[in-house]
Amino acid sequence: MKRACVLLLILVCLFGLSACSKKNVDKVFTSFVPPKTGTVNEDIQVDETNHITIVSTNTITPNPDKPDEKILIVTYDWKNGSEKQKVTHGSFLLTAKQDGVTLKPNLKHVDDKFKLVTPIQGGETLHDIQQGFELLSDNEVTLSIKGSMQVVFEDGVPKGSYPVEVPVTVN
Amino acid sequence: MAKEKTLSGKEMLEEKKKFNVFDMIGGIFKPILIVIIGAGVLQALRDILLQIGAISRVSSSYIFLDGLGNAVFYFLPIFLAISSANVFGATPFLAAAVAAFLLYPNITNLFSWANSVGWDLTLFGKIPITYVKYESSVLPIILIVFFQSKIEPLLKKTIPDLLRSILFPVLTLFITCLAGIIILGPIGTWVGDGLAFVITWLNTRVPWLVPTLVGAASPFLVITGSHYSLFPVATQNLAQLGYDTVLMPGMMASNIALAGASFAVAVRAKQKSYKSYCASSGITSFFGISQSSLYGIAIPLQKPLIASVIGGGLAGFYAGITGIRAQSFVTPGLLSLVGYSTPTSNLINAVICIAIAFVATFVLTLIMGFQEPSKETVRELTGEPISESEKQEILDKAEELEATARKTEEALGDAAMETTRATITRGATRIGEATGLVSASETESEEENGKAKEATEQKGEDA
Repeated sequence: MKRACVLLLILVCLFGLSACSKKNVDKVFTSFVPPKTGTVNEDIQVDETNHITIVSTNTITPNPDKPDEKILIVTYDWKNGSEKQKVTHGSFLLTAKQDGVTLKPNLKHVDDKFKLVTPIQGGETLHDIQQGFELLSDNEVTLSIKGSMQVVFEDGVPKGSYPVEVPVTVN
Repeated sequence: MAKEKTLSGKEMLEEKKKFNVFDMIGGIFKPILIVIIGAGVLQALRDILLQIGAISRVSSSYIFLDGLGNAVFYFLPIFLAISSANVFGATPFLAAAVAAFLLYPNITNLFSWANSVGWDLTLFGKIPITYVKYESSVLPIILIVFFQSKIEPLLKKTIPDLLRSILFPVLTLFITCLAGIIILGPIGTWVGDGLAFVITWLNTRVPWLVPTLVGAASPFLVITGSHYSLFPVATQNLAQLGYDTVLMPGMMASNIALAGASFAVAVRAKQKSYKSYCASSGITSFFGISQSSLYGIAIPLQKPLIASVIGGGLAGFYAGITGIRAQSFVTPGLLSLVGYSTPTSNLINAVICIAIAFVATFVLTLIMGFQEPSKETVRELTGEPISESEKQEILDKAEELEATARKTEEALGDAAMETTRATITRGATRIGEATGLVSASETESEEENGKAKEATEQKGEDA
């Protein structure tokens, strides 16, 4: 048993040392690096396969008796750039923040919430998907679109992925 | 050596009745504390390296180190499922399978996605499913395994023997998983949501009371997982006001109080390995990772828990009346002091709050005292191997028991043989009388047999 442990330890050390040796050609890992920010009506590639275009945003007041309760409706297109059939779930995630606070989602006043779970083929685009968010004030809202990548390689260095942020005004 | 008192059946039943919720939680956590403490130390190391700037939050080193410390807490329900199954008498690996289902990436991603976009999840299009964060949760899996332990005997009874090997695991998994995600899992979340509502309401009316309550009740909030419901309140405060007074000061007070309780137990404990265990738990609690102190020390010993509730409450009260403000969301412990740095008076008050929590709980634990756990319990907690002398002691005991068992067996064997012989003779005599082969005078021997039987029965009872 002891011998086996010693042998294993030696092997681990050897592997460790071999990792330190310099090779003639270093392999550089690369990946798609999403932009940090985007704008409305821009084709934003959020990861290696998914493209989002924020088409429009509008604010509604569903209850006339409560004018302070406002909902921001975000309309966007999603292009599935992969070769597989996909739904929005698992492909990307769209959330919103206002004054640093994550806004509560609301799907009660969108046109067709089932677009969120409609599968589309690779290469196809699903138009006019809508998502609603309960606003806290009239201040600017930042939309965050996170793709399905967990890690991105910037100059060969692995880093945690991040969402693309799109500032929108509340009208 | 003094002879140990043997409990009668009635006394054993009474002893069993004394088994309470603290013993149960202690029993569930005891086997897994060794992993929790290891992961807790790694998390503390990660936080220290992050604070001194040795690693960055987006670096791969951070991701690895974070995974090393966090994995145990993320998959805590699986560990808890196995130990809860052992406590409740359910099948451990079926319980682990249920926990694995709750933590399965597709399930957690679905929950997370539905919660983020506002989608109402349903099962078979009819049954609503509440969003629950099962990662690192405690109460849901304990409730679910308890339910499983009640379902299993029913299934064993109803399923025919021929189909048991197939149907038993299928039905157990199906019924338990469904009951888990529909009813049992969301209980902690419902409690937490109610609590968040009350705390938010209290914060607008009696703001000083909130840190007091959180400081005192944090151990219970952590057990039920209700503290997660307060996270949005704290993040909203941080985002809108730039500081939080609801969650962070109270939780910091509670964690430091648990550190105080752990060190007090370490000072008073007699067993070396238990001292070392308590000291390491105290250190991790200082850094805000208090699970090992809570589940390994405070809950099983109970009095340190009372002390930490009082100490945490007192420190929380101080935090409330001085209006201590946490300006960042850091694991509530010593390292979180950087989040209280401005203005200086805020930092001073935070340090005083920590001092109150530690000293009050430390002194109270020493005054209240506690019953040190047995050697076996400590060994289970620390993973310490059995020493040679203890091994010999166990072997001696086993030999003694074996000898007693052999004697009993022999005595019972003799008694049984004599009873059988007497019964056969009596039966034969009766048959002889009935057929006329044996005369009545010859049946006198029957009485002798009867006496012999009585004697053997008596012998058997003695044995």
